[in-house]
Amino acid sequence: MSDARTPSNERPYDAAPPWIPRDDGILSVTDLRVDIARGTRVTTVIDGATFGLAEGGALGIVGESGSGKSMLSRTIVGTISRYGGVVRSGSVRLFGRETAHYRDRDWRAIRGREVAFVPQSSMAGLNPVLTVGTQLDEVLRTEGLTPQQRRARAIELLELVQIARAPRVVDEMPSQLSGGMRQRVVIATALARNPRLLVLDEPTTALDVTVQAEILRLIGELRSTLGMAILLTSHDLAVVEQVCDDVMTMYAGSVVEIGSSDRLVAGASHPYTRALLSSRVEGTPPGQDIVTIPGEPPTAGHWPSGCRFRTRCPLAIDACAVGRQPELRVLGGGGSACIRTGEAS
Amino acid sequence: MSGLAVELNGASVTYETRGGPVHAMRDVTLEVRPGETVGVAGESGSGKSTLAKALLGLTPLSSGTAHVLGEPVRYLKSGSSALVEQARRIQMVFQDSYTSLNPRLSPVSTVAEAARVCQGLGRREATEHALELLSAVGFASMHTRAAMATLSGGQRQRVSIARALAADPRVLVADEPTSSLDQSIAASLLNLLRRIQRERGLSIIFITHDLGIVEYLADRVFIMKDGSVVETGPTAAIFERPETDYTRRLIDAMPRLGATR
Repeated sequence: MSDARTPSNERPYDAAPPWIPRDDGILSVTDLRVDIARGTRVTTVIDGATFGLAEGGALGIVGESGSGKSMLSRTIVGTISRYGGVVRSGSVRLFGRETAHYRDRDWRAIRGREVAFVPQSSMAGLNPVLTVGTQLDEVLRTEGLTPQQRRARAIELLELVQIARAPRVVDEMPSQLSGGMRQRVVIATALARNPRLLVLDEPTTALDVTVQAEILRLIGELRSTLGMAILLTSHDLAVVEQVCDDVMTMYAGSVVEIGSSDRLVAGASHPYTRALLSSRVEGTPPGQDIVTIPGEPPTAGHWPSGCRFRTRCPLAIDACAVGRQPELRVLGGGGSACIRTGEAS
Repeated sequence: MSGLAVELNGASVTYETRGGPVHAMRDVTLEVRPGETVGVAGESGSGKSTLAKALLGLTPLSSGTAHVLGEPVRYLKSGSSALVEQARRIQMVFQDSYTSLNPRLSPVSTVAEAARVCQGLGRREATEHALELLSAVGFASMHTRAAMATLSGGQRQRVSIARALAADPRVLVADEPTSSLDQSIAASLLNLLRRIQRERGLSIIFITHDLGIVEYLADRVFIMKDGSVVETGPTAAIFERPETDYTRRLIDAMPRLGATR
């Protein structure tokens, strides 16, 4: 398999880890808490997210359903209010601007141009009754181009996402395209205004493995040709690891581990990340039971006290139930939100 | 009697559509021995779900034959007694438990209903049997009378498996039963299927696009493309020496940790 993570090895050895939030980073999230209001019920879906992303970097977010990874990506692209969400506390600095309390009109100035979003379902990203060209045209209208220039640019964007018959596809309807082609069109639409950060939420989940591999390769190549930063969520560690320099694990609304992809594969620290790694079917010899994580992830509103993973954790001790979710401790080049991190294992 | 659990011989399924005939499955020959796990893998549109439907008698064959436990599979109207006979030989677990489970029935009623219809148990016996089966598949006892909509995907899939087992079948067809579940939940369901198979000597046909699961679970593999079986053999041999480019592409596309190094 080709290496989609091309820029990975250029990081200076002694530099501070790129996932530490910094003022000059393109994204710095600190102590984020997000609540979702449904009627009179308010549920906290993210509580305890601190991380950063540098210009041109690629950070992956891994988690199971209810981990808050999709809510986090929606907060970063400013669509969380559509789901009844509001930033209750903490900070989300995007390109130096505090966006935690941005309104829709504030977002209009930067969404698409500085940060763009690729949703999980390509059907959600496309209008089924408009041609591919018309949808790209709508995005390009804000760029002050003539209709001819817009059409040329639309075809150029389709070629950028490696669609072979771009001059014909531009006049086709989404229903005429395969799932993989549709996802390429969604990515082209997101790239239309040259964003510096592309946020992709489970972009390959609905696709066949062969198509998934092609899309992941495309994302890696676009990153190196366009120099944009990538934030990619997936439930699959292997997907994220393939595209991203750094990976963070989310569990029950908080970041429990963050570090380089290489470190993740070589040896994760947090018991949840370790459990995720060992519950992979790949690597389990046939005839042996897969090592599973007992129980199911807690849903938002039903998180346990103390460490939220403790009810399923093989290393849990009494102290884990006390107080709040542990904060990330930085150790050995990675961060882990476990009070037992650093103990001899 | 061949002694085979499942036998497809030159089986084809053609759907008539306004745009002309669609050959969903072409000339498929497949044998499954008792107690064996067979993986059927391919991309969407490869015909693997059509194969499942044909084995269950949910879609008619346009040519060829299908047998389960030596009996011909028939395409039958729901409610007929022959369909119940067929259901006692072969059962299916679907990917989408939202649409395959009746939202108005509780988990225990869902399983009891199947035990009543397929095994002719009385109401009380059927309920008792249903509770036993739900416990055997690791379904939380406090939820046996809960509304289906309040259950997690993993819990609903356990109900689906218990319902399939209520017919006491010899063959279980699992069509992507874990692909909409979280990894940790999927792992425990795969362990469950393996345990059920050991305990009951079931034959399992596991249909998936995930070759990782096939490599782990299946004794033999059938790779499908455009309705046809393009390659078949023992799992280890297929993964070590795939003969077609298509199979090699499927294997190469599997997301593997550390593959980039």
